[in-house]
Amino acid sequence: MVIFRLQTGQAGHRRAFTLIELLVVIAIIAILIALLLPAVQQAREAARRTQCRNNLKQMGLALHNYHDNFNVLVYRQGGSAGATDDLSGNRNRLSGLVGLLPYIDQGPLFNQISGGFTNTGGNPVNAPPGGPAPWNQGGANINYPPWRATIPGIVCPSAGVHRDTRPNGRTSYGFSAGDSVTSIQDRNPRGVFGYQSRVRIGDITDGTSNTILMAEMDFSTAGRDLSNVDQGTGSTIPNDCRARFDRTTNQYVAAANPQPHRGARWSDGGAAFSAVTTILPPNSPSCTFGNGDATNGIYSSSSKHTGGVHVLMGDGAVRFISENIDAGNQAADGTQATMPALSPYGVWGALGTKSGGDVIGDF
Amino acid sequence: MKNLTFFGLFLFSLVFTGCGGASEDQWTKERSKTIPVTGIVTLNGTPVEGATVNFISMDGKSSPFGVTDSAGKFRLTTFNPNDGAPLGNYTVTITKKTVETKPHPKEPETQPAIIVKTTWDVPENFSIPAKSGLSAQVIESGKNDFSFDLK
Repeated sequence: MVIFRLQTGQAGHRRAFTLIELLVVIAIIAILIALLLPAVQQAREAARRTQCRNNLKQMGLALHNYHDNFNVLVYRQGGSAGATDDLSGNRNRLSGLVGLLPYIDQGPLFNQISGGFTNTGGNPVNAPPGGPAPWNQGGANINYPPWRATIPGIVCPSAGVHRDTRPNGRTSYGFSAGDSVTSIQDRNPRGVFGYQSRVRIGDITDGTSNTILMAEMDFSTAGRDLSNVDQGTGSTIPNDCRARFDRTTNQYVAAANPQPHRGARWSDGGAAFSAVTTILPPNSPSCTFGNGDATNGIYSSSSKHTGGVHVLMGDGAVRFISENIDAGNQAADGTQATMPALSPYGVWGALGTKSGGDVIGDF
Repeated sequence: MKNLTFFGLFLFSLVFTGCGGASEDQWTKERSKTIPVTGIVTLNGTPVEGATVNFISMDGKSSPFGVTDSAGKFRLTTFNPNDGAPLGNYTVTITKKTVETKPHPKEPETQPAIIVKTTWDVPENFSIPAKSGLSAQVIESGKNDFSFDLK
């Protein structure tokens, strides 16, 4: 027979932790939690960032699949012309993202847009195939669901909540227009995407691994923050745009007119909404030349990731570009007619041109 | 006990993952050293507020700029706020203008606006590098304080 003996301490006392021991254990646990919490937050941001990258990769696949089918890349801005009002046509303002929809698993949405729209609700508005102008969303005169659609694959999870209050779906990824202030609305821009442009991969003679297709555009989340667009700066010199933003207060200067256009409407191909220029380096201010939101200007890329932005290269690679990248001579005039073929805006500018003949080192 | 040690190391590695931003990278290493530069802009004796001062370097590698305050004073920025300018000779341009535009008459939604009027608060020739006639030399030791009195 086996006899079990209960282990006890001294007779009459129950074995227990002392107060000091308890406090020490609690202190150790507290220290561990304090050490872990920031790591958890960083892990969350790292996950968002990975997804943001992955979205861009998917856009690259979509662009290449589109090119396989049609032997041409999408335009940044285009659509149907001739309409004199905002309902009977889209006024040439559709974004290239509309054409890419079937390639990012949004075929039904594309069919809804291309098939025309008959409103059966109380609002007596019908839309032609291709949809109405992409900016009337939310007005009393129109109720067009596709422009309101939120497409998860075109929004960067790090971007936060857009300051624009209109109910449009957003996007975080802009089409590269190259390194010229005045070629953005051209059919043959210095970058890959333009107004009604028909650029083929073969036109990217600088090499697809050295040319940017798309880049991140951050949401404006506060009144005068960096991701706004100063509407009506009226200059083709990048330094004049830099001068509109005060880096010490991180706000646009009082004389500026900052508008939350960047990415505010995924369906709008207007430059302020969906173009990215490689003039000012990543995380710089944006400025329009004229007074509109679909006009020439400097449209910088930006993101909430520390230190730079993700860009999609022509070969489908996604790279992280530092905001410190060499952006050359920021006092050089960005007027296309007088610009040399080689970009004056350093490595960053050279990455934007599709056929500048630039030699690009490591970046 | 060995497991515990590894767990501790794992925790520490978690804590230090992601530390260190992009303030220093391959690009910042290649940058030239900057020296603080200040100055004042006056037009016929009166200080000019809100003018952009561009220092255009001969080698085209850097492009410091500054904006004048109400007293006409400016401090140059090359890479980081108010960091100054690299050593060297510069052509200086000073620009202050107001551009008035109107929408394109035929395609206002897609075509760039048309400039109606440009008002040059500082005469236009000072904003053209070849015509400004202004220059500056940023030197290693000494006072880099420039005064531009435009007429």
